[in-house]
Amino acid sequence: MRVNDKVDAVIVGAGAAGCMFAAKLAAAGKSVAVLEAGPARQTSDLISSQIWARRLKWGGSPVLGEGNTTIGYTMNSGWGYGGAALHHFALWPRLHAEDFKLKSLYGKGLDWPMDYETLRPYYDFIQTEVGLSGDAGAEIWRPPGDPYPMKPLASTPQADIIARGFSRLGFSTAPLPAAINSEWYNGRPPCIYDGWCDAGCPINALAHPLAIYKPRAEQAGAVFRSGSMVTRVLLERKQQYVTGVRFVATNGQQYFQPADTVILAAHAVQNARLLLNSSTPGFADGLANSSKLVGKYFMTHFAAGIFGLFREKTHPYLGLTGGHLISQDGYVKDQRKNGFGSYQWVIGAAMKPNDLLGIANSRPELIGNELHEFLTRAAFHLGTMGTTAEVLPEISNRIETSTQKDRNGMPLARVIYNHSENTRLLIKHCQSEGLEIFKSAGALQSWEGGVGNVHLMGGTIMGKDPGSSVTDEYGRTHDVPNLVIAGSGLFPTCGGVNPTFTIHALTQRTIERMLNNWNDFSISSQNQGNYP
Amino acid sequence: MDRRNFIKTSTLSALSIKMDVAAAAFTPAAEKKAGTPLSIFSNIEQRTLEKLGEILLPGATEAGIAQYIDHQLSIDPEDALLFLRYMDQPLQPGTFYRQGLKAVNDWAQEQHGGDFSEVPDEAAEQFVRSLSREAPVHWKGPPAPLFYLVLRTDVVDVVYGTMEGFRKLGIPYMEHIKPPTPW
Repeated sequence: MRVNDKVDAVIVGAGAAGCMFAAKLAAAGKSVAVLEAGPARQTSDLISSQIWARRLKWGGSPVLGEGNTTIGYTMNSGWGYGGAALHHFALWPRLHAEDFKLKSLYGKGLDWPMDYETLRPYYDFIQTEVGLSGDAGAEIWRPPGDPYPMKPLASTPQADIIARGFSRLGFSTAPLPAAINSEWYNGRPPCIYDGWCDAGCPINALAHPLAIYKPRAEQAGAVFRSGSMVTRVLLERKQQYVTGVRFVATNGQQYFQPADTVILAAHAVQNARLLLNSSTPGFADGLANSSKLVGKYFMTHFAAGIFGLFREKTHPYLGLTGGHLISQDGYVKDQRKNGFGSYQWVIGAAMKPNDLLGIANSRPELIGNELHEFLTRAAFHLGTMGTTAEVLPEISNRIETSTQKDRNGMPLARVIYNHSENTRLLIKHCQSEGLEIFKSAGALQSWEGGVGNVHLMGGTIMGKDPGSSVTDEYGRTHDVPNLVIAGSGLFPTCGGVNPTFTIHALTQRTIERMLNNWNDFSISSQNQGNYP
Repeated sequence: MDRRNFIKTSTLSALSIKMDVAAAAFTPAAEKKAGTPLSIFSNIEQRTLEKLGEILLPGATEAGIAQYIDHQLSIDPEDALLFLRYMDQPLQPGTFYRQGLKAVNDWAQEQHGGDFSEVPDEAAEQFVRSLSREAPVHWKGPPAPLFYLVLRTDVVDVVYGTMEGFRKLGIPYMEHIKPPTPW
């Protein structure tokens, strides 16, 4: 095994959190190495095609699934520089205050180790640093926060037509809060509404890691290494702190990357898999797993889609892949008889003819000339909206390691995931409400699409009590002081909003804490051997 | 311009629509026309795939459905662009398709005494529709509804998921970066 030069911090994963850590730690003078399992990517690789865009999704060893619903691991993950955020739709709503206190307020789920007011300044800071478009006043449900730095993005015929249905039923809509430029911002151009967000935005109007933090990280001296699959976090002989990570390059060569701090930013499933694969005699159940909660409380949001054909032209191929309007009237968790939890409607997503979320798959039962005819009509008259809806944390929904191994000998991740009866009831409620809205909007024909799972969260939850959580409120593991977890795996609950804004806010908070208290997060391992 | 009026009042000509079809020279359709031999699928597998493709979306054969899947199966899996990548299913992609095609032909032999490509169109269509719901009796392929979904999405990819496909539908492609080849 080859040994690299020691760095202050090694970061596993070059996605949203990893690139942000790299940029800010390097800018503060720390030596930083970022190890990414997937390939190197640049914005010129972001080809406008739903077929070519598949390269941006997970391409590593398979994640095995079990349970009454599939998590859509590949779709929801990334592969290469930029990670999942390279193809994310950039919907950046905030969590609400009640999302942080689910257990205290409702006796369900878990509490976060912080409240909304603690995180609010970081949301405000990030939205200015990155650049968000929206209309804070129109979001009547929005928790307190600064107005957005950019005007709202443009709407589309599709979104406006569907919004009629909300309005006629007394529901509210607002422009999408999005990390997409509606005007020039910090040298990045405005969006041109061509509907290719899912294929990655090469003009950098959308705030993905290659547009914002990765260039800053490289400029500050952080070193990125692609094709580097981390297989194990290593400890010093007394097993009190970590000394670095072992990784395998694409040519099979193994390396040890020593570091004073190890930051795992490889997304919810791979972070947990890595900890579980880093067991030692002192951590027999997996590294940092004295709580036995590594892998537990894994969550997704459910996305229930509604489709309809309208007499007017909707031009669904135009716009933003994430939609143009939101409604969070359904956010009050306990307002309905059946189905506890929060949800939002995301309205008027741009659709191309093909792919999983394309026009053709809105009617998967159609074949032959019926499919031709449908596509010809729907390409101009289809409308859609979907939920981002809360799934409560349950300890039985979990990430484990399998007896099957990948080509590096690392056990595959196995995810056991079931929708509960409460989730099924909430899905039914959303579908019923969605069809009513489309009918009210004047749809000639409307129908439910499939229900999918989006956003991978939990599995390394944060908390105050080391007995009931894996990390503290900064993502530092309770068991090992110089091992930090980043990203949505920390979420104890997921609310009913997209996670990327919250990931950035949490990361900013942790970075500030680390830089002000470096010795609390970093232990020099210069003279220590590694174990095993 | 008022936000809500954006695009509503615009015409497509206001957008930069570049429908460069030069890339069509390297399309599955062109390979089909040239009779380029397949590297993964046998002749019977190709005929089965094309018959399934025609039932799912007429024009799939001419668009090169067999050439498309065959090519994607022959390259590094990390670079492959097949929709199957999204399905998180445990089989290797080549095994998935070949087991599925074999199961289709086994059904054809059992029910009609010949290859699937020889099954009368009406019966073949009824069979394909049934795959979307459940596995036929004695089916030994991948989960039948998954096989149906994957193949159906593949044929939509080659027929309508390319610049040429968008042109057929009459919608603008509006590429930032043009695909070097359709797939």
